[in-house]
Amino acid sequence: MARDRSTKALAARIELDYYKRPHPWRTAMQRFTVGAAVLAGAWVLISMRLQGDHIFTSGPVATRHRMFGADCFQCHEAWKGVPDDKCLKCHDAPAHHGNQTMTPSCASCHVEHKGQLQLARMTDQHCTRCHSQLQTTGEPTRFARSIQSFERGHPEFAAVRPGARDKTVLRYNHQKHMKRGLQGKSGPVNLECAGCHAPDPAGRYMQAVTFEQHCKDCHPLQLGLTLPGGVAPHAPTDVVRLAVRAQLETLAREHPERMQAEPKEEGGRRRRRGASESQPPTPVNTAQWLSSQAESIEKALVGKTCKLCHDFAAPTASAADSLPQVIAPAMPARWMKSSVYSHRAHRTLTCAVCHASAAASAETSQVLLPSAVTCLICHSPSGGSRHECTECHLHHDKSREREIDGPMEINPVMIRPRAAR
Amino acid sequence: MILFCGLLGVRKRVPTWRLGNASSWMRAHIWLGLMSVPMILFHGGFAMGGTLTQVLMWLLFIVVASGVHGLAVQQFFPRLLTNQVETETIYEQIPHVIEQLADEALQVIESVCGPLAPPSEPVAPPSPEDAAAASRPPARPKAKPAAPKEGSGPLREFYEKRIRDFLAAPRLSTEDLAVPARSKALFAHLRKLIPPELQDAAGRLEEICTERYALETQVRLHHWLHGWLFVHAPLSAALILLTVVHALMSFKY
Repeated sequence: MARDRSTKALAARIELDYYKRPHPWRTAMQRFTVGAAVLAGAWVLISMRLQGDHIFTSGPVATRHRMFGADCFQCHEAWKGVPDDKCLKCHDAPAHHGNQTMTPSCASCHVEHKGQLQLARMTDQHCTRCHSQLQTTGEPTRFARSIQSFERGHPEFAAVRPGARDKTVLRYNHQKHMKRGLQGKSGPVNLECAGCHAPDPAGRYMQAVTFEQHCKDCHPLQLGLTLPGGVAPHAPTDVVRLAVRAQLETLAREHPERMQAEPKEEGGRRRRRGASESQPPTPVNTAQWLSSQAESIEKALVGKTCKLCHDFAAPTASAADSLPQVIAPAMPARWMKSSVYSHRAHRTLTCAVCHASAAASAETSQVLLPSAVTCLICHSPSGGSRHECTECHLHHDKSREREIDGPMEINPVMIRPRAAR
Repeated sequence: MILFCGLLGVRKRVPTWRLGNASSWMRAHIWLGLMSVPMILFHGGFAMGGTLTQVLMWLLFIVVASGVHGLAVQQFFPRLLTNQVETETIYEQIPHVIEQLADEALQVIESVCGPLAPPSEPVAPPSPEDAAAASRPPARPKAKPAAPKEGSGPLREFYEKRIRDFLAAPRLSTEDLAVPARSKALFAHLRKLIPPELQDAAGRLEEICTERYALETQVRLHHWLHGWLFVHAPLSAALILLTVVHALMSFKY
């Protein structure tokens, strides 16, 4: 007799109420699911007990903030995130511009808990959020209104735009000074850029060229034959006058024979030296001699020596007796004040790479700074060097930061705000 | 997204909800679950973050990986099940059906060999499924055993030594009858030892053993089909709970 394998027979083998009874598979699944959730909750509670809220951190803080340890509320405020006040306790963050339309919160740009990175190094998006379509309040801005990046939309540096000139009131010819075999103090010299231009101790900017350090050896302010070996100070003309008078008085006191007027030949001309010493020199009035000699020396200085480099202000009627005043050169200590630069970081390059026109420059009015195009050779995606906005520009005005004596103090456990004084 | 993915479990528990059909929910569950990986990576800035976020990341990866595994096996194993198991039955009823197969085999053997003595000792300790089966009423009333037929000794011996234990075992191991080729050879040998009038009984016993083997195959494939849920569902619950904690703490800080 064959087995009954009809559908009806097979269906009869199934209990109709089987689904009402718990099945080990489903029961185990439910228990595992509830157990996993309970375990997860227990892990959170135990971890909070052992480590506090530290388990909720989204990542390690930057090195500069490690001193706060696990005290999250040094920076955070419960249910309020990271208010700017918490940052400003330690950091000075002056406003970017007075006429900016939007001031983002500190934490929206300086995102913490990303490990060891420079919180100040922002991506270009932080800058181009405004500068790609610059809107301002109040007075119109002098900055370009559409900058996407350094290679897209960044204007030429203001100092080297067409029509820009060096307004320093000083005559200096780079071309002459870069010639080979110049006559120096003790023989021929070949000047190099570094002979006059030296960076500051931080290696960032070139220090000012000074007469005393860089010019004096070849261009001493000699006072002429009356005072052989005498040198005028590189100072305002009033000071020069006093120095000249003082040297003449010393000469008159120590060598009165030099004060005697040289004999004159008939017709009023001076006798040639060595022609005849038989006629004795004519004694002169000391005051007159000093006055005449000083006038002669000052005339030579102002008319020739100083004018080699300097211009003089037009004399005024009220100061008819005084010497003309040198117009201050007003050489800018820094040309591009909206950016930062480090000569040290570029020390592998020859000066001529960036200052190519210096060797041929004959006029002071020529600006010898590089164009933005020169920078783009390296500082662009194709150049390979970093080209973010923050490479050159600072968002906050660092010059307005506090110097020393900040608001924090150290207790035995960690750094905390100090008590009000 | 994660919360919505978790709602699939709730939706399954209340199938009468008029909130889209089950397949739509499953599609949304799969796609949102897959999309959650890149979304979370962007959310975390491609970093693992702190302790809790690291745990969350790993939980998510394991949950999604187990889900992808489940999705893959769901594409192949149902077809395999259909091909390999002709007598597929409801998974939860497999122990009950096996019990009926054992009863059926006993009836077949008692109809030709007379009443048999009960087995001296259980083959294996009862599992929870067996316990559940034991609590249920017997599948069908047993028929009255007949007098033993001539030449039924080998059949009886074969039943007592091999078939009874094979049908009673909650899980098949490497017994002879659990290997199809070996089982076929054993039954072929048995048929040579018994008279023609007992061939029909031997054939029925072979069918029963084959069906038992097929049910074991169904159990094995079912575990492949749904076993991943033991990883997926519990870790999803932990993931959802920790995600809520993470969100709350994010608001706090």
